Amino acid sequence: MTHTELSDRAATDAQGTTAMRIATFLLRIGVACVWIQGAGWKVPPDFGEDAGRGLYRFTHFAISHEVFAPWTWFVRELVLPNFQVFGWLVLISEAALGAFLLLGLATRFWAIIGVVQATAIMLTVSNAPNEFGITYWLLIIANLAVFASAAGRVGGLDGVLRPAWARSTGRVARLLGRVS
Amino acid sequence: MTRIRRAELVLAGLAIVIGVCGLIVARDLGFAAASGGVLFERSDDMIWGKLFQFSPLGAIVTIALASVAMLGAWIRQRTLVLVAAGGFAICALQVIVQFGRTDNVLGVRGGNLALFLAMAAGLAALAFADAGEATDSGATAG
Repeated sequence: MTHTELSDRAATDAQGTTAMRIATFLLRIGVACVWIQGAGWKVPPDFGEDAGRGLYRFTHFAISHEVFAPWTWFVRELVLPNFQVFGWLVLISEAALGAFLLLGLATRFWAIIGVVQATAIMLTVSNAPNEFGITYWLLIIANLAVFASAAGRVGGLDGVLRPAWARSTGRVARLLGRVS
Repeated sequence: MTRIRRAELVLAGLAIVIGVCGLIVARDLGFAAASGGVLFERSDDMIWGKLFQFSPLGAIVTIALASVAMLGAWIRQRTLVLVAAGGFAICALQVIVQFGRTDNVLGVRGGNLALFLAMAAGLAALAFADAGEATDSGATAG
């Protein structure tokens, strides 16, 4: 291989690395925006229960348009009878997902929470009218990609703070180092 | 400039930009309108559609807190950064208490809870890490 070929290859590798970093950053920001937007229409205090709208209507799809029988049982017996508690959990978890993925702080932990949340949504609304079920599979895969790529280390606070966490002997810093 | 201070400036700058955009979209609303102006309202089908919402008061509070954080990062006063983080944490509590009610003075939606949580957690994490680094440097110098 000539010197020029080696130089070209090095340039291509460098571009690939840069492209990967940009893509990893955009993936994390994009997934964060999805969760932030999702948090926007979960309106307390009744989350649509009285009017049969909003989060209540979508949660009810798990029963009216069943995807997975055990999940339908779970929603009917545990979620709907305690709907306001469930509504607050959804609002706070989606807002926290948006916040921490936007920051890139404890990213791998929050990406796993995102996988769990996206799976719950997929099991609830995949068969509902005007829903495109593959969207939720893509959201699960996107959160898995954020986890696998440790996306908070690229343009996120994980990348900024990991050296300080590594030097620290504190329990919280060690934990944050593990989940970043 | 350390990476931590640069990150504090970026976070504060981001909040100022969002606050200014909020002030622009809320310019025709009442000062503490319960339903604020929505950022990117006409792009609901895009990932950035309907992210945040502000009354003029909500936008001004966001800009003010972010400015305190920026000043703190600029003059290396961690206390100011922590004060701003605490202010954003109170704003997050405001969303939980008032969102969806008629007394929603900051005019916010659920997405603002994410924004305020991000600012509170991010600025606090950076300020505490900066304090740890200063302690380490002091111990090394000593």
